[in-house]
Amino acid sequence: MIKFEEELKYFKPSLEISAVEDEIIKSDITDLNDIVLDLLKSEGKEQ
Amino acid sequence: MTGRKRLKRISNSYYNLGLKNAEARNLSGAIIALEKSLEFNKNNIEARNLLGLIKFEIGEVAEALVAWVISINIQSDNNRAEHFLYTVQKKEEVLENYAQLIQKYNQALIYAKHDNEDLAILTLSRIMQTNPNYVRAGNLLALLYLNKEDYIKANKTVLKVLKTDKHNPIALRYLNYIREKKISLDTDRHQLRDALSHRKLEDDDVIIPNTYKNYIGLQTAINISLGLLIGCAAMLFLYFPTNKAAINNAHNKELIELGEDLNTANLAVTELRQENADLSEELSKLKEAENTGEESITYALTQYETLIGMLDAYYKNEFERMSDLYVSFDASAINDIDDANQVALSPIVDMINIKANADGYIILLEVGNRFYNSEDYETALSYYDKSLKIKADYLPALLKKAETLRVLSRTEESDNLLGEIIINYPDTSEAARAREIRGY
Repeated sequence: MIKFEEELKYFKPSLEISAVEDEIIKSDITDLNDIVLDLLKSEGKEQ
Repeated sequence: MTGRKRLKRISNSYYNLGLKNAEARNLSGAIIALEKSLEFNKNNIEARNLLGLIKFEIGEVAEALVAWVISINIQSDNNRAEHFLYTVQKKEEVLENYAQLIQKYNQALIYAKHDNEDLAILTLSRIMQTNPNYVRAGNLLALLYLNKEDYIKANKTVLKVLKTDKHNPIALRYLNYIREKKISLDTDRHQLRDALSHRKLEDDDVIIPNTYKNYIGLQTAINISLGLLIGCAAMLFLYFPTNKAAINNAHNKELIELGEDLNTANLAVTELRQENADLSEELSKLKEAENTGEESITYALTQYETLIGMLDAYYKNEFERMSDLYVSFDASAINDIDDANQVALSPIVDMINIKANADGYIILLEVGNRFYNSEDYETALSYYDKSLKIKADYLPALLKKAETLRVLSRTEESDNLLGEIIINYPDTSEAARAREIRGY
């Protein structure tokens, strides 16, 4: 059974082209390698 | 293999899966795999570029631009993303058109959420005419048609979405819903054709003759009789066979057409079933790969955390805590990270190893004895086991373990352990004590 109101909640607005620059600036680009390095560096500082 | 190389390898595997999905036009599946690939290696340029290309294909042009710009920021030379960006941006009106389509979709979404469905449908229909690949707009339009119970238009729209993204989960769900309602375009077309294929004479139909002559008397009777005879003969020999053949031909044609339609429908069903099976298989593979990757990463991260904890305890001279952590530590999961930071972990691991092997097992025995003396025998037993994990032939720990087992009424295990001490280390004080406990 498809409930219109419930389904409608899943639809999000598309990213607008005018917002591309902001999106690039605020995008947090990290991967697992960064996470492990941060972990080790913070431990080193504590010592 | 270093940690970074391992992460790159996992990232490449996800990229390959993404590429395979993209080639099969399973764009939803491809997006999931490529985003995973970037989680493992943010510098995977091929994955980032392909993600942008797929976003562009499904109408999310702004998201595509973000992916390509970041890609160029990471690698400015010899990057295919430059070509993509140039192609999209070279004609200003093209980019402007895409921008307007996205704005219209966002506006239509607002209309739909504020009970202005007719205006939303109108806007989305125009969007789909301009860019039939805009998946998000197509799905919203289909939902609005479903809400209006216009299953024919909903079906048409869903098929349009699935042409772009074969395994789009939202569109597939809507398609299943339409089928559940047993309404499809084919059924309607057949019903329409059945309604128009026969035109029977009704009771009140009148056949008007072309000419009429006013005859009277016997001549009239003869003419009528002759006419009837000729009419009957004509019916018998000319009209019936011809009409029968025509009806048969018409029916045969209809049967052939129906057969063709049935075949097409069967093929479509088979294809959809196959696609469904493929989708399930890909999903399970993806989940399996994700689980395996995540499990190994989680395991490695736990080991790094244990190492950090041991290091902390070591520097604070808390050797009891350090030894306790050391027992669950797997040094093989720790890799040196070969980047410019020169973070080498092997010396740290070696330092911990030396300390734990020198007196870690003695410390753990002492902890065990403390629990034994306070009559917490289960905990004491676990610490004797920990001590023996570092040094398996540590006789005091073996003897105390046997004594604790005996207190816990696990006599058979205790006897076995005492027997081992007596046989393997006969000349030791622990063997003498073991003999005493056994009673010989």
